[in-house]
Amino acid sequence: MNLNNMITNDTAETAVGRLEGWLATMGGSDGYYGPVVGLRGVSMAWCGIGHDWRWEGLLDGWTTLHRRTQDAVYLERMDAALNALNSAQLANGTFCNSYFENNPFEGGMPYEPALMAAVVRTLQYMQEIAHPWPAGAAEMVERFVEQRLIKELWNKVLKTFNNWMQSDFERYSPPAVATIVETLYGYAKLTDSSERLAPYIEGAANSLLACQFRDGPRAGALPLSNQEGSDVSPCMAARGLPAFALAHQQTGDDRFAAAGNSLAHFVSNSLLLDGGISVMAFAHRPTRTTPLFVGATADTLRSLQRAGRLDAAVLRTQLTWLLRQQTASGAFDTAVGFDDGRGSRTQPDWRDVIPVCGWADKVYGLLAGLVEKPISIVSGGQVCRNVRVRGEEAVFMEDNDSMTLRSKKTEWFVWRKQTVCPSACRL
Amino acid sequence: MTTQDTYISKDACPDSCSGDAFMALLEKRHSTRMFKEAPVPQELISRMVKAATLLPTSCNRQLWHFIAVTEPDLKKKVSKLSDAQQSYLYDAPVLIAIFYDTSLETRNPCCTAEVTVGMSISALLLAAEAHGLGAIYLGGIRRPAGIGKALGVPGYLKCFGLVCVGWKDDEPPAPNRRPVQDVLTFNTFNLPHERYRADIRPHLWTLEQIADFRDKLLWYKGVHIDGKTLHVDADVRFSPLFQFMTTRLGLMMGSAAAPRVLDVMSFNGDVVLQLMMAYRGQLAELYAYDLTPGIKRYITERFERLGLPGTCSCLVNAEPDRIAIPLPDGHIQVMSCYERLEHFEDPLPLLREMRRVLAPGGRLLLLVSNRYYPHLYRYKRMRNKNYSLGRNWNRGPERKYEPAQVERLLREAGFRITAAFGLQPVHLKIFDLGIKLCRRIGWHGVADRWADRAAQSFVTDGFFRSFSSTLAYELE
Repeated sequence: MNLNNMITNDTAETAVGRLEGWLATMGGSDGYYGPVVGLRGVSMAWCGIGHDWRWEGLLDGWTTLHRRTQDAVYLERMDAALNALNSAQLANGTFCNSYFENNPFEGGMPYEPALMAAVVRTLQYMQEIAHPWPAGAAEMVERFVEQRLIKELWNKVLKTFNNWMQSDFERYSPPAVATIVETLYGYAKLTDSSERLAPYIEGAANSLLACQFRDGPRAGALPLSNQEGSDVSPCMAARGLPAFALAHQQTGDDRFAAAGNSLAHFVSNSLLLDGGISVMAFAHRPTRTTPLFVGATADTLRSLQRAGRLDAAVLRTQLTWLLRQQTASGAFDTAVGFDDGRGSRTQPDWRDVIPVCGWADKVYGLLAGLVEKPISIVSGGQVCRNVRVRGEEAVFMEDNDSMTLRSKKTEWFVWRKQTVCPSACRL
Repeated sequence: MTTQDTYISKDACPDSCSGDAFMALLEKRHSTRMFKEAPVPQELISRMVKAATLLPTSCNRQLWHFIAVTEPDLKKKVSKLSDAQQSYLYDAPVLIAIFYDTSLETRNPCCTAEVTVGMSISALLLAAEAHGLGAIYLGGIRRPAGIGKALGVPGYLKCFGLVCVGWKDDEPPAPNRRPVQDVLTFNTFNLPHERYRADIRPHLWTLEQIADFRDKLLWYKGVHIDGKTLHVDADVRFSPLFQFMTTRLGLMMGSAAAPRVLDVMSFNGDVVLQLMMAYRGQLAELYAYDLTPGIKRYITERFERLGLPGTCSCLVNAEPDRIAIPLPDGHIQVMSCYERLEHFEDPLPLLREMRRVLAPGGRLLLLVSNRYYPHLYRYKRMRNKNYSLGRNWNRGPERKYEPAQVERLLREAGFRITAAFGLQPVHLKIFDLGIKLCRRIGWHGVADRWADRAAQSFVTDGFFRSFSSTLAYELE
C-alpha cells in the first residue's frame, strides 16, 4: 500500500514537522517526559521519562525517515535512544518506568515487548545500512529475551508467555504475546538463533490461535486475556496482525494466514466511518465507541500497514480525521469523547486534550511513512482550551515550557516540561 | 572437643558419619519452588514413598495412601482445585497427593492421624533431597475434597495436601531458624512465658520480638530476587496505594533540589526501590531504615541483583531495646512511612525519632490503616486469634487507628499536619455494587460512567476520608 496517495506530502511533512517541534519540548536524547492518559487509567502525578512503548513509534519513524531522507540526524537519535534504553535496563531484563499509565513501574506489558520489537527492527536497519550498533544494544535485547521473557515469563505448561511472574498462572494476554512473537522473530533473525527459539515462538504463536474468536460478532478478534468472557480492545487486538503475518511468512503455515485474514476483517470493521476506532468490544453488551483514542487509531493503521492489509478508502478517512486532531502546539489530542456526551459538547473532558508522548509517537510512526524529503521542525504555538474537569469548567494551557489545567477554584495540574513531578496535581 | 561431643560422635553413634550426614541433609533441604521440565523416574517416587511408610504410624495402622500425579491434564486439574495460584504446582513434574483415613481416630486428643501424616510428609521431603530432587509441601489447599474426587479416592480418605517433586531449578537462600536454646528446655518449661508470636495484638510484642519476626519472615516470604521466587505473590508496588505514595513523595520533593530522603522501616525495600527508579539522579541521599541487620542484608542483596541505578544506604536500628535511627538531628528533608505504626502498641517513640531526624521544613508522608474501614478479614482475625491461614498472616502485630487517634499522636510527636487524604474510600465499594447491578440490568452506559467516576475517586480529602482503607498524612 502506497501511503503517498492518501494525503499530500506537504501536509504530512508539515504535520510531522510540527509534531517534532512539540516532541522537542517534551524531551530529547535521554527520553521523553510527560503525563499519561491511557486506555485503563491516567498517570498525572509522575511525569518522568518513560521507557515504554513511547519509544516504539519514534524508533520506527526515525528509521523510516532515515531510509527516505538519509538525514544523519535520525541515526544520531536512534543511537541516543538505544543508549538511553540500555542505561535504564535492570539486570532481570526489564526497564525502569516501562508501564505507561502505571508508571513508575517496571515490566510493562505489552509496553516492553512492543518497545523491544521496535529496538530489534532498528538494529536490523542499522545492520542493513552497515551502521555500527551502539555499545551494549545487542546485550540489552539479549537480556530482555533471555532473562525476562524466557527465564521469568515463559509458562512451561501453557507454552506461552505470562504477563506476570506472580499469580494468575493460567492467564496470558494475547496482544502482549503477539508483540513478544514479533520481538522473538526479529531477535532470532538478528542472532541467527531461530532453531533454539523455535519452541518459544511456535508455542506463543499457537497460543494466539488458541484464543482467537472463531465466530459471532467478534470473529477473528484476539481478546485482552485468554480467560473466558474476556473483552476485546480492537486496537490491542490489531497487534496480532504483524505477528500472524510473520508467523505465516516464517512457517508457511496457512492457519496463520487465515487467522490474519479474519483478524484484519475484525479490526477493519472496528474502524469507524467518520474516523477513530472502537475502544472495546464486549461479549454481551454493545461495542463501546467512546472515547476514540487518536494514537490508538494511528497504531491500528500501522499494524494493518505492516501486515499489508491496509484498505485505501478507509485509510483516507482515518488520516483526515487524525490530522484534524493536531493542535496549535503540534501535539495531537489524546482522545475524543471522554465525556461520553454527558457534558457540554463544546467543552471536552480534560483527558481528551492532555497530549501524551506515548500516543503521539504512534501518529509520528504512521505519518513518517508519508514523508519523502527532509522536514523542517516547526516550533508550536500556545494552546488554550476550555475543558471540563470532573464537572467543573477549567482551562487547559500549553506552551513550550509548561502544561497547566486550572479552574476558578482549583489548580488541577501544573507541570513544567521535562521535570519529573508536577508542582501541583489533584487528578 | 567437649565430653558431650566425644560421647555423641564416638560412643553413642558407632557410625559417626551417618549422624553428620543426616544433619547435613536437613540443613541442605529447603523448599524448592522452581523445577526443571525433566521427568522424575517412577523408581525415585517409589523410594520416596517407601521412606514415608517407614516413619512411625499410630498403632501401626498405616492408613495412608499416596497418589503420584504425573499425567499433565490431571496435574492441571489438581493444581486448579488446590486454588493456590502457585506456579510450582504447574511446573513440578510430579504432584504427590497425601491421603489418610482419619475416621478411626476422630476422638484422639493428640491428633495422631494428623501427626502421622506430618511425619510421612517430612520423610517424603527428606527422601527427595537425599535423591537430589527438590520438593515443596503445599498444605494451604482450598478444596481437598475436590482433589480426592478428581483422583477417584473414596470419601473416607482425607487429603492432607500435595508435595510437588522435581529436579531443582533454583537454590533458594536458607531461611533463618530459631536457635535450639530458644525452643529446647530440659525437664521443665523454664523460659519466660511468651504468647505465640504471630499474635496481632501489639501490646504482646517487645521491640526485639518485632525485629526478630520481621527478620525471619522476610527471608521466608520475601519478594523475588534475581528471578528466584521465594513465594509467588502479587507485587504490592503495583497497587494504586503504592503509586499514590511514590508520586506524592515526588510532589513533596518538588521544592527541594536534590533532597535527602528516608524510608522508615523499609522491610523488603519496596518503597525505596520505587523511589530509586522514579527519581534516579535527583536524590542527594536515599536511606532505608529498619530494625535488623538481616533486613539490611536482604535489601542490599536485592538491589545489587537488580542492578538498580543509583545507590541507597541501609540503616539498622542503633539500639537493641529502643527505637534509634542512626542519623543526626534534622538530617532528612523528605521521609516516608508506609503502614508501620501498626506494629507498635505505643508508636510515639518511633514518631519522636522520626521528628528528630526530620530537618526544619522537611516533610513526612505517613500512611496508616484506618480502623473505621470495614476490613472484614481483620475483624474476623481479631476474633479468631489463630489466623495463620488468614490474609496477611505474615504482617506481625497490627493495630488499627482511628483518625483522631493518629492525629493526636502526630501532634504529641511534634508534627504539623499540612494535608490529609483517605485512600480507597468506602464508597468505592458502593460504586462497585452499583456497577454490578447496572451491568446486570443492562444499564451499561450508567455503569461505564460510574466506573469512570470510581476510577477517579481512589484518593479523597472530603467526608469519606475518615472511612477510607488507609489514611495518608503530609506532615511538617
